[in-house]
Amino acid sequence: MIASIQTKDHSITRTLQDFFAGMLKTGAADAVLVPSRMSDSPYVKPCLIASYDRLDRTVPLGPGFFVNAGPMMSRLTRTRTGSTLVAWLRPCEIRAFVELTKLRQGAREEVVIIGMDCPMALSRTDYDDWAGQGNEMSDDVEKWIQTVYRKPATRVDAWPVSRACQVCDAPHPVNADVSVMLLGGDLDREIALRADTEKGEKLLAEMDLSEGQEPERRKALLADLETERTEAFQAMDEEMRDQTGSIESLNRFFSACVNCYNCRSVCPVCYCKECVFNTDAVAYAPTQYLSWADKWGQVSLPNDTVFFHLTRLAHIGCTCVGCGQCTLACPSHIPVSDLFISVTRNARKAFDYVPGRNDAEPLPLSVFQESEFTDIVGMGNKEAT
Amino acid sequence: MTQTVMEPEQDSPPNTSSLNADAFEPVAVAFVCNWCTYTAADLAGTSRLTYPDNVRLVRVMCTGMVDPQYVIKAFLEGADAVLVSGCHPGDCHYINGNYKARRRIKLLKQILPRFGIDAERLRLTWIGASDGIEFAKTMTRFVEEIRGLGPCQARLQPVI
Repeated sequence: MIASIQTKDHSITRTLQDFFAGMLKTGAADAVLVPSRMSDSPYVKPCLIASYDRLDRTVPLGPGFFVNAGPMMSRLTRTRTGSTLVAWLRPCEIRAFVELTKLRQGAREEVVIIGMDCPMALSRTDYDDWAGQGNEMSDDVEKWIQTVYRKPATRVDAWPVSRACQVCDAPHPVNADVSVMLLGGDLDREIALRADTEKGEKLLAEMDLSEGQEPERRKALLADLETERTEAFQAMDEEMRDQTGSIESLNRFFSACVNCYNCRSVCPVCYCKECVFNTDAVAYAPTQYLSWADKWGQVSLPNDTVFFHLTRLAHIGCTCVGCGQCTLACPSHIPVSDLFISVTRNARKAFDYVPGRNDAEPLPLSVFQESEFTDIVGMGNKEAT
Repeated sequence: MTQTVMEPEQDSPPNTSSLNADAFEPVAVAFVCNWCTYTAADLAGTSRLTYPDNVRLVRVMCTGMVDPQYVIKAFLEGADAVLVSGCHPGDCHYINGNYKARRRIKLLKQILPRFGIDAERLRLTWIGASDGIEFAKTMTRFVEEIRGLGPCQARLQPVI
């Protein structure tokens, strides 16, 4: 079922705000989660809104991506509430939330996920720049929306979109309840929404919308995007192999890292409630440091920098959703996501796994077969099980 | 009365001085499960079988408790190779630990080579408790193969 919302006042933002207001008024939603400004500042964060008259600061579509809402969804759904939550999520946020539900750190039962063709994101400094142009932010936002959906590109005006977005292989909603089909749409006139599940159909039916159709150019645009992004990923992968193909180059890649663990904090799929790097396991005795200094000649402090990143890589090895928050959050501007996306997108092929695409697909390291991967067992010629 | 000064064990001045394979002594770390492979190691010992002393054994209760980070740490600390060895599938003392280990090692073998740590340097074997001979043979073969591969480049410089 495909429905359509008529765009009002040439403002896609206001049209979507009214859409959310409608579902709160009718009770189709008890609360909505949508990016919003909390003050005059241009920064947006996922906001839980329960009242239809509090939507005026929301920015449903825009280049600001300061928090992956996946873990926020986990906070909101880890126990039942009896209330219906409608969540407006980017594709990578949907992927992240789905991965977390596999760990029982959240649940979809009381949620209706509305995913959108993604408006892509800017880096922090570029966002400041974009927001600091001196215009009304709402005008900038509308301009951004029109630009990215007419023809997605790696640059929007003066700003390159985040690299994680440039290589994102699924910039459209997958595994959502409702998909908002914005790419190629005549957004001045209407916004097309497609129900992907029964839950989604129910929501759209309650909103009493007219019938719509997928924008004609959408499939072609998506196909183009896929080609472009596959190429961009291959380029990034090459770069990463080049820049981190040895311990020496890894040292260089992470030389500005100060172990602040921002990347870990913002990562939506870094799921441990207590990270091993916060435990006594890494509380080495002072004599250990002296011993290392003796052995290696020098110990850069804080230590275990590469160890931290490689461990994190192994721990989220198949579940990285490619949102790029790690790079956005790094105070040293290290392109952490370039590395993590490159490695994990290849690593997960061994398990034929794609994070987020299917609720029922278990995490590769949480299941096993009686007999598998015999190629990695044994010393070579010996028969292995 | 003379006092004997004990030299600290020369565990690792990394052997960078020589590219000659003869001079290179591999450092191998083996995470072995208590119930099977460690018992096999013990049996090898009581049977007076010999195997190269390049292998440092770390006894764990089950290969299922070998977190990928132990393997990573071993390499970053200068191991040329890591072996994880446990019970045969179906024989795990904790039922399914070795299945989990298999998946984790599979994943590590996708990741480590990206950073110049050859997949051949990480091995997974199943060695049962009564297989003292198999243990000694495997360790001997393991060390020889690593000797052939040469020092792991992770060992040649400090890692930040």
